[in-house]
Amino acid sequence: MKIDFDALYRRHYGRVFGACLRLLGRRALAEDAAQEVFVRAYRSLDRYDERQPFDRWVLAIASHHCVDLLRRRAREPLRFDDPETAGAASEPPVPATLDVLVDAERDDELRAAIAALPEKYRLPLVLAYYNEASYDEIAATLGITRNHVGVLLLRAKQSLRRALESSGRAPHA
Amino acid sequence: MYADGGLDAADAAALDRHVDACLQCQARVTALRAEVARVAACLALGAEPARVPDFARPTSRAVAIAVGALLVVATTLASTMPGLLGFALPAPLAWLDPFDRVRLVELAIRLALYVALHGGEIMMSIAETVAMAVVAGLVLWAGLALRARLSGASLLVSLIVLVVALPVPVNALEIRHVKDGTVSVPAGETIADTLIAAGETVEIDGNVEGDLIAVGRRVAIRGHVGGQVVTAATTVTIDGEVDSSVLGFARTLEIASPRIGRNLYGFGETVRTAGAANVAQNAVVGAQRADVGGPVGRDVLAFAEDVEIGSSLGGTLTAFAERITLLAPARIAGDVAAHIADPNELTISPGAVVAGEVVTHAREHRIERHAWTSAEHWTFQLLRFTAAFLAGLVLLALLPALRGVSLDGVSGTLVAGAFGIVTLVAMPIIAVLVAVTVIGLPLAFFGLVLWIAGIYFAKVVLAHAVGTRLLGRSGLLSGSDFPSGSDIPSGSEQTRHFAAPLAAGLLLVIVVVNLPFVGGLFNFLMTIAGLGLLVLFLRDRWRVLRDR
Repeated sequence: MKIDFDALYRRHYGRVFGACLRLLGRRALAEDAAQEVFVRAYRSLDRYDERQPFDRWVLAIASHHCVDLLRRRAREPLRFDDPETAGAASEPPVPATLDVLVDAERDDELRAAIAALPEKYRLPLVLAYYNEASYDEIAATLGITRNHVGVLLLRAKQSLRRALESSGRAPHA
Repeated sequence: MYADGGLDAADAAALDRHVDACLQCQARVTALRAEVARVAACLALGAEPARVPDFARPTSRAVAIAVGALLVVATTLASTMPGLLGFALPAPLAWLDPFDRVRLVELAIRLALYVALHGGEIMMSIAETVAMAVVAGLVLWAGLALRARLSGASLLVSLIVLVVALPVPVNALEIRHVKDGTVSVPAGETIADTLIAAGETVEIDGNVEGDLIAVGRRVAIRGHVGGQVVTAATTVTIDGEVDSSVLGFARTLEIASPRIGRNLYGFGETVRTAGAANVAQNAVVGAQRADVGGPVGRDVLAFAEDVEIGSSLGGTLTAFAERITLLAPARIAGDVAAHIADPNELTISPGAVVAGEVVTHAREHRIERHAWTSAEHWTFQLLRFTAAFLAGLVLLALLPALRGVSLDGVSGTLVAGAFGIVTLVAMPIIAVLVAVTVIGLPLAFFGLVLWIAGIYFAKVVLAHAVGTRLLGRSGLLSGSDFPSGSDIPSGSEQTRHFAAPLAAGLLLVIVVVNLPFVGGLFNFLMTIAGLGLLVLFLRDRWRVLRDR
């Protein structure tokens, strides 16, 4: 079956652009990256398995491309701390309650907190919950183990809870 | 991990059994999943693209092969028929032949010398007279470029690449190397190729039909060289004929050659041409002591402590020196421009004749006139800063991707500098070629406007990159376009991000170009580095958008 690539492009551009923006953090970079992702997808269409959803496939390309870009742009190598030693003891305690994030009225605060996350937490968070990548896919993209992905996601969410709670307006805190 | 579905099947099944039986864990898993759903929902909101741009389909293999084949054909033609374009062009336009390596080298050296000498004035003149035209041209270009997705820039970049990629025809190469010994081409031997000779001593008594590149402690050329001579040694003596130019670096460079077919470029402690030496065209000499004893067909340009001219010059003499002496029987057909500290150190002996004017430029006065203390000077610098700042704001607002341009350490800066100098030299040549031989004047004019704009904006881009690095390092820079409430960042948010580093960088640039003695040099270096950054930026954009 012939693939109508233009139609796929139009349908999925927004999501790919969104992934690039959330991973790279800058609109101009994200626009370039999204184009490059589709160019790469077009070039490797023969490797696309049509039984797999197209958005998952193209988002995986986007993840790899953006992480590559971040690695190349970084002044220092992109580091994901050792899962055994990560998590400084000096950090404030994580709120025990989980519903601190579950407050629809605090969208802006949550988005700001996500944007402010360090790259080592933001990347797995975006890959997991925006790109909907599996732990194995995230581990392969970032070059870390599956358990390490779990630790980074846990820390990312702890940071978000901490940030929202410390903003002082958390009704559930 | 369990709530995320990140555990493997066996672990997940074991936990499933526990959770099914434990109300407390059920509540916690539910809460964790709600939390994840909230994060995912939040990530899904906001900052979607304003529009879906057209998809740039990559070049098909057939087109790539066709372009490759075209390049191969062009290269083959250029290599096998070196005179093709030369024959096709009338003699007065022969200098346009892009395959004439000798002329290109000379053009590059002359241009580099010219830029080194007059770079500051050029920059000033450009800044003063064409800033407005440049901004207008750039706005027009940016409009067209954004409309056509940089196709104009892509075309120019590809023209540069095409011309640079076309290899000039070269002769076959012969390499002779004797460590700590003598490399010699005895009388009677003929080398039909270009010769690279390296040894303690290099002695050429025979005939080299191609170019000669000779490196050693002592180089003596008594035979004949059909091409150019490029040599570096402690002592170089050239007594034989050279059909083309000589470029020599030596402590002592002695020329007694009865004929140098083109130009002499001599640099060293002492550069001397004997009475028998004859340079058909120009002589450029940089030395502690420069003695021109033999006739020179055209101009002499000398940088030296002592300059002594004792022969006939078909053109002018320009000398930057402590002492300049014109000895009988010197005959200078053109003017003498003496850049000298003390006018009394210019001596014209009674038998020497200068047909043109003798103009003395007192160098020290020029430095004294450089009025760092005058209000006008600083007012001009303030205007210069403001103009560059405003132009930079417009440029970075129109091309937001330029804000991502950064200096990647020393090697990155050197690469940018190399690209910059190639662009600086190649662009006008390409523009002239385009005007005369290929497409036409409008494109050449457009290219030149772009070139001038590039030179003007080079330091702006560099300043922004430097400023970003400075402020980034000190932690003063923050903010991103990451979704944080509104879909599209407002204009003030956008300018806030790049105005500060731009201002900081420009301030630094203005200070550096005003440094005594080295300011001009830094001005030139920063311009080529900035120009290189612009070219690399365009190259990167072109790579992404090449098929639009």
